[in-house]
Amino acid sequence: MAAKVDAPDEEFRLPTVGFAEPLVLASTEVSRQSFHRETFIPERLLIPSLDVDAIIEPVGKDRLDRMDTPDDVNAVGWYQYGARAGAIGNVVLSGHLDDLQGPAIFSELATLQLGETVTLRRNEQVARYEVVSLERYRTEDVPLASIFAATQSERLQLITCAGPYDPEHGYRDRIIVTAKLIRN
Amino acid sequence: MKKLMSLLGTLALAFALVLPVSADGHDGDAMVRVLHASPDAPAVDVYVNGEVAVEGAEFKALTDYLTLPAGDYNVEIKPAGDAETVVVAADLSLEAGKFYTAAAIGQLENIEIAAMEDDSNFEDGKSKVRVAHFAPDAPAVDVAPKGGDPLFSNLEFKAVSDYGTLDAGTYDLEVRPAGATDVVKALDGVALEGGKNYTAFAIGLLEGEPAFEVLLAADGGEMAGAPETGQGGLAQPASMNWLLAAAVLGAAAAGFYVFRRKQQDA
Repeated sequence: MAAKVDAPDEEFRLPTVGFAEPLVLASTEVSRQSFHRETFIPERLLIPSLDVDAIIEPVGKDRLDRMDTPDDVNAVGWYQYGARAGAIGNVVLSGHLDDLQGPAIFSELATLQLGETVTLRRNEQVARYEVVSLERYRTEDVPLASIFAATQSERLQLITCAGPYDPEHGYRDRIIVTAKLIRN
Repeated sequence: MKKLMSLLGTLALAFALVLPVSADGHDGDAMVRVLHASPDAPAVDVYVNGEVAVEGAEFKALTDYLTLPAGDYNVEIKPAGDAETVVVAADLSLEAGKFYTAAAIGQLENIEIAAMEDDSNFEDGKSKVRVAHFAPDAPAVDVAPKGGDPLFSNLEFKAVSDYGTLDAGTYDLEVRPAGATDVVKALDGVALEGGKNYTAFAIGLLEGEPAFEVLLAADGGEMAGAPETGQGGLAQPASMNWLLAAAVLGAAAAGFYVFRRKQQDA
């Protein structure tokens, strides 16, 4: 169950940011824009390698201004202020590691391997993503702008908990899985 | 619409807000991204307070937003892989909760850093759009719907327009020399999503390479803290759960006994 990566226990360190191919406005390039493509609000998450087949519920923010997560620990939350499935931007999903008794929908998330496929669906609409990174951070060190701010990339971000548990503060760490849209 | 907002060098922000920091700290952060818009400059590394933040950005590269605690920063741009040479540097003051773009603009011999604040307040069904003129050899320009009146007028090199609000939809736009009707660049089918804000960066050279073009980038974002995604069921060894259950049962039994005693005493 333990993540394969460690959350470094050190002072604030500047993370290096990445960049994506920019969107160039020219007549031949506009088809790259999200408005013209099949984007959709995802309703189902499929991760075959982890036997995950989950219902997705739109979520906003909780009282503490954090991204919310569904009450149903076997459902996954889709951040409604982020990108739609298949769109340019960050599609952000949160899922529980566990409930009070035992494992929940994302209990195995940290065992995902790079290159594996994650699929979002809504009826016949499908967006497939390939896992490109799996990182573990102290909760206070999560690179929030890479997850919630605008980006020219087409990314999926899967978030769950990890690390030691404290009844008052919850889990110490977060797992962030990043996947990139597979273009057909 | 044509108000100059290109804040070169020092971005002086007089009213630095001091916000309480939430449990996860994101309320105290500013978000910054970097654009390489200097047509003849090499690939660069970007340093923030002496630490490398972006590596190998080439002309036209726009980074993702980087989270930084609010405060004052020194940004240096160096040739990729050459930590000794500073191409250009600037001091930036970053306020909590705000989004910024820092762009390296101009020809290499006159390179400078233009910093601007990005709008992260969104309107349902509307798109807020602005234009940044970062093409050093291009004249002042208007940006207009095809054949129509300018939406943005008389923008000179280094100018960043205010945001204008448009209905979400698809627009055929054109870039024209200010006040003229000939077309520098036709931009057909520019799609603007509702609830998003955009900056159109005009970059490159009208005469020579890299050629003049317009990049469209979505601005800002709805920030949130990392979600709470666990309740501890996996963190406790099974025996702990049994101990807990035994303790609860014991307390319940004791309560029942007291309750019975009270009933008997009554």
